Amino acid sequence: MFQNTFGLNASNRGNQHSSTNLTPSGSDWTQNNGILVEITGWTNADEKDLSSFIHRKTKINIRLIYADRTTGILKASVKTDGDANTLSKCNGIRFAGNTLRIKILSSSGNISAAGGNSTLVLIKSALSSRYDSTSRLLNLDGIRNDANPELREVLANSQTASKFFLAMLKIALKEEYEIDSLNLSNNNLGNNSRDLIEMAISLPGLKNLALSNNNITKLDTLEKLKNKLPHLRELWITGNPIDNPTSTGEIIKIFPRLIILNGLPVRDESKLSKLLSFPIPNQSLFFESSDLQRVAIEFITTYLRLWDHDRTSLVSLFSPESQFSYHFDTTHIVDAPIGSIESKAVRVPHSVASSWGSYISNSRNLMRVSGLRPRLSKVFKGGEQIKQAFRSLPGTKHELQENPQNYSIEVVSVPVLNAMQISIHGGFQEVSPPVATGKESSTRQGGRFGAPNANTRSSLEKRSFDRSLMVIAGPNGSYIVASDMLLLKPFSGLGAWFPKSPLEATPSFSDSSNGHVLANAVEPISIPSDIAANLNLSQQQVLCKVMTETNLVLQYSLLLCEQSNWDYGTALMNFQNSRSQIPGEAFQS
Amino acid sequence: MSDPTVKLESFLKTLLKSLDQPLLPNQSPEAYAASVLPQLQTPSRVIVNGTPYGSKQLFQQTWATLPASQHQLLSYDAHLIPTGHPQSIYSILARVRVRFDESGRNRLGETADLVPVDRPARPLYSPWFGVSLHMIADEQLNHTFECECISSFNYRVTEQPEKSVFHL
Repeated sequence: MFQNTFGLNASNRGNQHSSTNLTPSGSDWTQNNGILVEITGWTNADEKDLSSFIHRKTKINIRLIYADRTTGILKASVKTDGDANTLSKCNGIRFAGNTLRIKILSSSGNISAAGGNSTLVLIKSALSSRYDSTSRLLNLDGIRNDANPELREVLANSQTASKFFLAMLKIALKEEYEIDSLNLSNNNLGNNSRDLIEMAISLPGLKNLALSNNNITKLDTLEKLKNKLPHLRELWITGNPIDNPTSTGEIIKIFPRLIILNGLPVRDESKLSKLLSFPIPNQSLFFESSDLQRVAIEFITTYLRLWDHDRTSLVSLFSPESQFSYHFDTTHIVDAPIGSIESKAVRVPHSVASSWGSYISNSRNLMRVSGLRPRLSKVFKGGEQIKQAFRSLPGTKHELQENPQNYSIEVVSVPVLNAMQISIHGGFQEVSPPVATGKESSTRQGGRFGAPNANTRSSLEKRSFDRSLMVIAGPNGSYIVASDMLLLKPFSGLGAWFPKSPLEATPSFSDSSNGHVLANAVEPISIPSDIAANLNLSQQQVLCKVMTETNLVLQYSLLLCEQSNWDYGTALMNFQNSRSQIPGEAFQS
Repeated sequence: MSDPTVKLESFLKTLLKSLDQPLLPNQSPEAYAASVLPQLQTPSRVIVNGTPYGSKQLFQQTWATLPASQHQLLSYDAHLIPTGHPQSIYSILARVRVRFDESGRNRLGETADLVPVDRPARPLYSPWFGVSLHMIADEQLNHTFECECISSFNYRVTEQPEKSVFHL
């Protein structure tokens, strides 16, 4: 694939763009009333058809100047830079069974006089003629020997060449060229790694890179690209002094995802993919059973709604033994994406006091709070204490109902308490300062609902949180919250569970009203250790899945898996085919 | 009255250490897997990124296939909840960060290399990931950490760095 992308193979290491056959150049161009363009790939039709075709597509009139069917080159002019740019967007379009290639060669004299504009046109011309949108390849192979003499002239000087090269990348990014592959072969780059580093910074997602025939003699030149091209899959360095068997291992270490070097595989791609990814599927929701799912969703939705709108009414859920505490941790692990929080909050670095003032006095981070009394004083017990603690916290707005995909929930049962343990992760916006004032809080035990002055100064921010609730089933369908722990964090954008593509989108909570299972509501299945010891990892996974799907007991599930050669799909098919013959005792009660 | 949470920090650090420990010389992969979080009860409720593991052994075997990791405890809080039985239970909520070796080798030493590569023993760590850890553990941990005292273990990666080569 790479060979197709770059047109390279092990025996073809020459200059792909050497220009022995110069075409009429921009400097030869004496028609002063427009921009000169060169078009190839038109020869299946005549020039007038081409002119009409372009007009239909772009509403631009081209003025034919020169056409040579032997070389396939047609030269024409357009009136303005804008027309030239519009025309260049037709590069790669199909015409009369062939692919048109359009290159902006040069401007007329008036553009040359324009200085910067001239360079811009030159860059855009080079980009449009050397970019293939289908393969997302920017082919700068031998650009120093480009057919265009103006380009050759600019690139002859190493300083201007460097600037030109960087400007070209910037313009490519600005104009949203999608570049997966970059061919820089045959450009005499040498060991000056500055351009390569700039390139890597500009194109961190680059997958394929060709650097053949550039007189790179030092491995250090490539080592400076370490950590800069994390997705690079394919690299060509043929024709450079560093291309020798002893350097292969070193080059592999520089690029963590490198699969192919000089056309030869150096890593097993599927193995590498497994080594660099978490081996456990990432699901945003987990409910131990469908019953727990129904109950927990209803509970947590109501709980957070009341937390936002009528917090003190939640006190009825707390018994005298119930506990509530919170703490915050200011460690920034990842930055929130720009735009996800108020720009002012991004620009102005907050002190802990100004940002977390509402939470400081009672934060129960046991890493920092030591001693029996301080630790006990920061956990609130019973309805009245908890009510006061609630009042000392800022008003909030969660968006669980509006954007459930922004939250992650896991619920498991806790048989010893006849309870459910709810873990919820997500974010909220602070919307108002705490209700509790200094006067009120000073009357409480030791003023521990305090830091009121800090409260009033504390800025209202968006925050991420983790929360853990232990909810016990009470009499007559009621609930008792035995424990509520809240951990507040700097806002970090959407959680790591957030689906990467729309296909992975999490269903809305509203689906639950139809009894729809939101997530893999799987009962935990335990494989006895004596059986597990005889199965490999994938067999154990198949066995668990088959037990879950078929509801067969372990013995029958094992039999089914063995008869199906441990193929999950085959096992389900065999199960369906023989279901009527399976005895009742084969099923889990 | 003594502080019921006094041993929890040490307990949490012991757990994280067991998630990070390297394969010992001459240690079999099976023995290594069994040394991952031995404090889990059999059976226990193990949920990792929303995926349930009904079997302690299955979780341990899966964890053993990860690249080397390094966990760091950032903060935690805990409640001791009476159960009506002699033993109470701890509900623990912790914030942890973790990073993974991105050198292309897992902790069992397996690589994807098709050509010889001379790798340093030292891992090349990814940027940090944020993790929320929520667990239920028996009061028994106050006597010894060498016991099956965790009945529920919920490990959720909440923050993923953009520039990490290792990904979820």
